[in-house]
Amino acid sequence: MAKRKYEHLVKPLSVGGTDMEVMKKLQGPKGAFANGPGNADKIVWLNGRDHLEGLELNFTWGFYSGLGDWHTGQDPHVHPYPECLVFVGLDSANLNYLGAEIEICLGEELETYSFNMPTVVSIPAGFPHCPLVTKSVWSPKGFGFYLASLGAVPETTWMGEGVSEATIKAMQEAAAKSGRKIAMKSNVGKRIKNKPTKATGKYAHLIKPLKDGMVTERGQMLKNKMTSEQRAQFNEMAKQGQILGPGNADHLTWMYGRDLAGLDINLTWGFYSKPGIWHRGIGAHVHPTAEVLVFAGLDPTNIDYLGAKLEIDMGVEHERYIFDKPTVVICPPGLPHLPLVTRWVDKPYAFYVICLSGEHETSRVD
Amino acid sequence: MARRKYEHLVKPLSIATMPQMVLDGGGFKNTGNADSIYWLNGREHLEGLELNFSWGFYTGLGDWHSGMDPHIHPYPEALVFVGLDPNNVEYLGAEIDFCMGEELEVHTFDKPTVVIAPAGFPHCPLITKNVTNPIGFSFMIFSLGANPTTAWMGDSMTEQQKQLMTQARAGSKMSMESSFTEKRIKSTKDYFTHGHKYNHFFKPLKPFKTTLGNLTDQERAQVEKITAGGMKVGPGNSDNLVWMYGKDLEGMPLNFTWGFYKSPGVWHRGPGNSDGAHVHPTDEVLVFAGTDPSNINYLGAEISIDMGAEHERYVFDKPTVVICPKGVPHNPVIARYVDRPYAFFVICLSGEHETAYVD
Repeated sequence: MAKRKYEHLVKPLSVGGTDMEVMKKLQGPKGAFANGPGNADKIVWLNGRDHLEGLELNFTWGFYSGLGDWHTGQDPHVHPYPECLVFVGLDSANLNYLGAEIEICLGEELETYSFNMPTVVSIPAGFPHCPLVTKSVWSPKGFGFYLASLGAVPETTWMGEGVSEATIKAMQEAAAKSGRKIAMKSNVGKRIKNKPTKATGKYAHLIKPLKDGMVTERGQMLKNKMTSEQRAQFNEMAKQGQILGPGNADHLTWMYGRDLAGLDINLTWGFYSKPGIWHRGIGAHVHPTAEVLVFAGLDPTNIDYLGAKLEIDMGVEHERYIFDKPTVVICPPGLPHLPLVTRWVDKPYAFYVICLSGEHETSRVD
Repeated sequence: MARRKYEHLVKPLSIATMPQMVLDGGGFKNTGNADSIYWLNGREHLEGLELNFSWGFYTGLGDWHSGMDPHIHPYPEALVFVGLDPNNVEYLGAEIDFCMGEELEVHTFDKPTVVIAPAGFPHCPLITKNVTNPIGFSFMIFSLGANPTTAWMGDSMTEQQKQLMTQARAGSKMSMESSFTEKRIKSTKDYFTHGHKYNHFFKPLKPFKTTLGNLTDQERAQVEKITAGGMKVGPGNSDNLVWMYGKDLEGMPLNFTWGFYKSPGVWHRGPGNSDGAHVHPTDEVLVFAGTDPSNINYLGAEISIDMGAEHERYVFDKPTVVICPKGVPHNPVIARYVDRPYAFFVICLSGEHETAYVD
């Protein structure tokens, strides 16, 4: 079949697959990174350099059920880029259910914050964060987590006492022997020997419950939560026939830069269970900034299962792509995309947008 | 915009709106005939297919062609009476008298029914005796000729009616070619007869369940034939539909479906990645029609269909016919949204429905 113009922009999430079973069995030195008991059961991790056409972004999607530290002994750590850590539940009937209790330390003081609702934690570039500990999991399915990091190359400087240059090197060699390449560039930074402290509220602005951004609940837009400006824009679009289609979200939250410590990012999280078009009265649209659209399944036993089949158009030519596996669609700035049509749904699935701007500006193409 | 390869095969039903003069004064005013109707024919609209078909809404009482019947055609046809309750395909909401043969053997029914009229066989008068559904009912003709042609045999046809029929054809888009037989038949009610000679020409429409419930062996065999290769019913498909084959239609080289569709989504899942892309060895048309009698040009849904091996996609939100010449791949069909249940029928020019999936 002839190469299609936009096929490099539509990829299965499995291109970023990381076999956690293999990772956990690696015979690395004690305290090797990425292998804490609270870390992912299953995860995909895609980055701008290897998978996302050079976007200044790396992101994950994973399922979690274990208790304990996510990176035993390595934390806190910093990145040269900002990032958002998004903790979500797997109950597609209730976006406000996490099913777990999480503790995260922020700052060099290791101020400890806890939450048990779906939450996004915004981390500025160079800001020390973690340890991250799963204290309790009461959802029988565990919970989900995605990372949205604004750098094309995943890079971490570890500041905990349990990691050294030697352990990193040994771990990478062990991974190479098992045939895996570790995409993360790891460094060792200055050691922080502080013990976790009680939260003073100094960093509370970095932690936001996802319910603060709820825009759709049970298939209905929450107009009463809109600002007057948003409501006017919504009414104007509705007048032009631009309304939600039947395939759109059952439950959706949308967080902007202003909600995310002023970071240049806006992101969504939602559950979808119905067939049909997502937006009525409009064909393709375009944004002045890049974004990725991530379609993920909700079955923790199979990260490669989506449970639905969708089609999306790319480009002014409306080149159509069809998929029924977890997929990322990369939308560079100015590239028209949509309509998006769900052909069928066997199991509710998740969808999230990561857009590389604090605001979400959209222009109609056709 | 560049011409697309299959655009001649996807047409709004409105290309064949009946001239208002015919509806108002061409012999049908204040009768049981249509309130609104589309009538498409092979010569003008259907790329030469040996078919003409209609879709219309009916609320009026009385004779459909007062004084003009019985009549004959040079081709066989199926006359399909259906209701407008999307939750019940076995509800008509009207009572109909239909005469068959020169004997004017009258048959009465109040359930959705197909009447078979062989080529050259006199049929009608057709009288709507009662309409119990407040929004009326619908009716379709499936006639196996490219040119609508009728020879009227009634002895009470007025000169005005004759003139209007012929003038309408000459002066407007009236497609029916009308003639008047030398033999005239008196067809007032006094001349109707009662008997069972033509019972076999009247068939009730029975729903063909697409969900595997309590199927008869015959229904199960049909399902297995349709789903061979792994095809499954998608969310956009009909809950219940009627499917009549040549064996049900006195051997006519015709099979047709009738159903209501309420939900978004793809109509067929699989086999493989095709989602129902298939071909037939015979011609067929796919007709998407609305169910709002107050506006025959309202579909109430947005639909996409792929045409050709290239999967050229067509999207429409008005009542539409899709012409599928034999061997031209078509599908998947995807309902993008549904505001109001809509109707869909296939007219396939063969007694059997043979399908080969592609892709």
